[in-house]
Amino acid sequence: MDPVAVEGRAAAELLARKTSLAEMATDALYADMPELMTRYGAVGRERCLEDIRYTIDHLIPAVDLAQPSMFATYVGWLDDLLRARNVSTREVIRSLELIEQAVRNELAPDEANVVASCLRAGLDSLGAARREG
Amino acid sequence: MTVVTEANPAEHYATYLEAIRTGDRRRAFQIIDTARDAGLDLAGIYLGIFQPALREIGGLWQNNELTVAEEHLATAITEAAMARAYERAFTWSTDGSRTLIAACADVERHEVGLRMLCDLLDLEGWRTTYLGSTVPIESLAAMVLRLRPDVVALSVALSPHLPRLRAMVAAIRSTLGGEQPLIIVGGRPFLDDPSLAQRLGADLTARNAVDAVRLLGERVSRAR
Repeated sequence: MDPVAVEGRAAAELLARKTSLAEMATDALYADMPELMTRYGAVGRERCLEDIRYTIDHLIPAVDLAQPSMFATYVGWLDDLLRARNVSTREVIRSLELIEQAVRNELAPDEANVVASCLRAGLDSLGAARREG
Repeated sequence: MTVVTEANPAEHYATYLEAIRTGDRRRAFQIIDTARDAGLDLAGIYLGIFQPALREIGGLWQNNELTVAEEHLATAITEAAMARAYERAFTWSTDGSRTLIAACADVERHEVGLRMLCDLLDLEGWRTTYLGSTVPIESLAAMVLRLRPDVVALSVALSPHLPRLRAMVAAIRSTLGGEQPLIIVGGRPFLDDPSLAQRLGADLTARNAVDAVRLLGERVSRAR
């Protein structure tokens, strides 16, 4: 593959900034949904940070290989897993949106766009029926 | 206990799943011994019992019905049951003239599929070298250079490890120069999209260990 392609640059940026992007998204999620802290406490917040890092781990190859469906498959799997642990689809959706926001703040616009198209594929995979969950 | 006389893996699958789900190693071994005595071959046991049982165990963990510890125990029992079934199936009648080196790109332990491929190839007369997961890329390339296998098989269970698999392929390609081994890749991401194999620089992929054995049998001739 072409190493200077925007997908490769975006994937490298995600990898290099994974921790700070995950922290930004987690901060924003907890600011946005303060009830999460009441419900899950500090341990829950740590887990959330870990989950978002894991999500970025799965975002990276999908971006790198320009394969949004790969990320969509992961999001479907993640949503099933989290719903079985009483985390709602609404929280998954919000976390993906906030990862996008962090990426738009931190990465060059062309890089952020290719990342966003993978995130959108993930959001689209959580169909309307699941969003009620 | 029901006496099973047909060589049908479905007869044994449910009881095997229950045994590993509850961490009952003795019972798991017993079921596999019974399946072999009923005439089931190693490929039938691997693809008809072990593989679907481990997939189901993964699903149960995903549904929060099993803990990580229970899932790891089920995998460990299955790895031991595989080794036991393999030992009982292996004979020295094979020639070992065709060779393969296998490694997992994952840093986690998702090694069972590749282990199945190696075992089934061994029974077909191949000489396989199984390295498992977390092999440093340079030492893998060095071993491929030294052993010059016909085939290198690489697997990846989770997509985050695809870049590592691509780096492994690239290292082998550049180290080996003119005389390249055939590189086969497998694992979940390739089931979802087989075209990924060529995009990552590999030669081929297969849906499961039995298909891989057949494909490699066609591609690599016995006399070299």
